Amino acid sequence: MRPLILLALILAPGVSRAQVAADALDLGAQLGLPLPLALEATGRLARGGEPFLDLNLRWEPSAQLQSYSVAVDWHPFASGLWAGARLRWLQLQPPWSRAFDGHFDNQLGVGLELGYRRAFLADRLALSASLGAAVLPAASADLPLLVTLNLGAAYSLALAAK
Amino acid sequence: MKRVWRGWHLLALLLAAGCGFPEKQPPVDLESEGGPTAADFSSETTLEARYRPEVLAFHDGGEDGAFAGVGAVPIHYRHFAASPEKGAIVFLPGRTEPILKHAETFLDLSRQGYAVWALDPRGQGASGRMLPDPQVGYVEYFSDYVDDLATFITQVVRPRTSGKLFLLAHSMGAGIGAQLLARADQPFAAAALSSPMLGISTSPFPAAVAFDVAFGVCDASSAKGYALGQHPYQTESFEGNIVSHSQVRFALKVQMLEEHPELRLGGVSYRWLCQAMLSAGHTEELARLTSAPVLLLQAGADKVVLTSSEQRYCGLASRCQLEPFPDAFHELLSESDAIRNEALSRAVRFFNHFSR
Repeated sequence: MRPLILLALILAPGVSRAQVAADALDLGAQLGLPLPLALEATGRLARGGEPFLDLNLRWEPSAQLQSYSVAVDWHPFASGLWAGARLRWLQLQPPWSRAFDGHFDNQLGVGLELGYRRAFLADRLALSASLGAAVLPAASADLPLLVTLNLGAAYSLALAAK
Repeated sequence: MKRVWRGWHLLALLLAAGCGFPEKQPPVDLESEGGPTAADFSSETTLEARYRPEVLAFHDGGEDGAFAGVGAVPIHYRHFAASPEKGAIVFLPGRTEPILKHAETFLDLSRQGYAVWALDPRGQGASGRMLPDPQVGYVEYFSDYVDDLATFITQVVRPRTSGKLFLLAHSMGAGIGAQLLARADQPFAAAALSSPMLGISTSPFPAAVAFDVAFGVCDASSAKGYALGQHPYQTESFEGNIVSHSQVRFALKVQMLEEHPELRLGGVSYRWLCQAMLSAGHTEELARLTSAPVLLLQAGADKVVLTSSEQRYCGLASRCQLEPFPDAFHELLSESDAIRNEALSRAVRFFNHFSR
């Protein structure tokens, strides 16, 4: 059902510049390190016509680590700059591999991140960059800090008019 | 409010009891145990002269075999009988080491009354390779090593051994052994782990940088190429080496690899590095799950594996006792006599204690 709603939103008649939404849903993809690819959806809440708070859902599949995460990002200066906290469900081995052992390989990670988002094309397209660091606090994993770098692009769908 | 507070206390106590580590057991007193002393083992002063007629002749008298490991990779082993037999020792060498390198140790153990079952882990020694280039250090999953070891014991060793089984393993072999020791159905009466690979030194890179770069490659590809700074086998010189103070034993290793180029192994692939890092990332949990008696032989001047990880493991495993050799380099079983023979004598005394 959700894909149909998203498709309807994408195919909906375009809005003019004067009707640009303050609150929006961004659908995007990222390139990153160490997780090379991410697909994400970000709900953006604005206040007074400026960015305020984002809720980000991200899926990062790869040949080794898998990450499913949710982040809350705050724009402290009412600008594209944001700081956030991310909660990750990490799978250290791919769940389809013969080596996968849920006890060892399912791990929770918590981390902080900083980023910047810049909008183009009447707020329809956004480019972003972020740097994060996560720890795996469980006793069953004593891995070093996971430092992440992401560069992304997203398409914005208006959710509510200004 | 007071009742709620008490409830939290009870919950905390239950959690502490459920998640805590098992109680530490007292160590075996190896000094008063009796058994062989360092003087009862092979001496490097006569080793060069004895190597071919005695050590290699003993090795050649062993029984060769192979079995199918995970993915049908042929896994090579060699069996040395002892008569009378106190028990059987399963031996695993470190990364790059063919079991032939440890022939001197097998002879020593055999003279102490232990049969030896030595295994070449997949991807090295005389075992099968998983890549076209036989020198790239590669494993698809670190658990493949552990599963091969379990298969070796159930299909090869157990059917021909009625007595107790012991584990003597070095470096990566000891890391593999530590994983099997944490399994509920582990088969060993006791284990001696020499410089176990429970944490890898990523020097000169900080661990987080090495982790990120390695996983960046592993996440994006099959990671079968050499990791940064790794290369095919090169003959090493004794001067400046970081693995042994014994010039004789070092020279015999180099000579062996000159005579047997098929046994040479180069540096590690990114895939091996990622798998080894993940494996080392579970050290505390492995310790918590290990109830077998473990003697951890620690090389104090180790520059290959992290001694801090060894201390953490041994501090948490309920029946682990640490025997430090402060001046020793990584390869304890190929070190100078004062270190190697003391380490072996302690391992054999430890096994003797649990063989009764």
